Amino acid sequence: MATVTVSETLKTLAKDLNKDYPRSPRETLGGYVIAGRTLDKCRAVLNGSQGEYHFNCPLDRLFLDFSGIDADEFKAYVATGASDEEVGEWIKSHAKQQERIEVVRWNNQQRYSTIKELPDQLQLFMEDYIAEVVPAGKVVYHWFDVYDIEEKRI
Amino acid sequence: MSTIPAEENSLSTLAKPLTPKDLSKAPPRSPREMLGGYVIAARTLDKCRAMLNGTQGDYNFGHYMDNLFFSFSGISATAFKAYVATGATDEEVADWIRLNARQNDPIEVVKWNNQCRYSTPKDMPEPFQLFMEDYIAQNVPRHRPVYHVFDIFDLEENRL
Repeated sequence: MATVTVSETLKTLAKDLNKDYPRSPRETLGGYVIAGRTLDKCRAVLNGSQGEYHFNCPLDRLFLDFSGIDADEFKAYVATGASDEEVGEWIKSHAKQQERIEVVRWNNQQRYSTIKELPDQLQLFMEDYIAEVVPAGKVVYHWFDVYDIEEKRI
Repeated sequence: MSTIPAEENSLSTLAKPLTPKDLSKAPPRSPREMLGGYVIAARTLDKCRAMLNGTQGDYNFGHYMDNLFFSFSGISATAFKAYVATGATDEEVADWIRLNARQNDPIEVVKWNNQCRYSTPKDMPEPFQLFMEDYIAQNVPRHRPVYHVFDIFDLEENRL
């Protein structure tokens, strides 16, 4: 992986994920769900404040693989200190989707998938993860709930 | 979102004083509430009365959801509106719906109700998904997840 130069602006934008949470995967950036969260984690990794979070994790890969965006290119652009709006525009100009409905369909597929609709490997991972991070009495209806419950947004 | 053409909207006004809702001040009923055994229909009725009364606010009669009910029941929006304009009560409209809808077997209605209640936006036609992508972002409070299509309206109108 190429060395990335981190701008001073990036440091002011990066969250400290030891103390704060990345955005919900439901929030959109450049029109894509997950992408806002991916950006928060990417900035934090570049800033050394990622805590236990990982950039380019299986959740990020869903966004990156669907959009056709290369993780290293994304990271290099984020390292310039680009704002949310700038990253949103960059995503739109680099993603392979031409029609908005393609993105909306994919967004809804992610938003409204239940755990039983996920790939086997993800179901296997989530089996223990949910037991570990979702409090008793909280119900996971859709996949994104796992993150929103864990991070106390819902 | 499709709406009833303007010329049909000028068809009639309420014949009897029924005190329709002022939808600029209070929302119509939830799409989950039933009338004549059908979900959506009570909301459609509230919007129809308000439109006839000139108190529809930002709501539209003949909206996509109304048309789901009209398409399934086989009831024409124009005939519905004309009957509502007579000042019929909820009970009278419910009986009229039962009389005019094409369903003969109650299970047909129950299955459709459940299809409507438990659909997510990803189950809906593409134009609806496209419309709702921005609509949900603009109208549903942050961190209030939409699980089913009806949640959009119940969250927006503070019933959930």
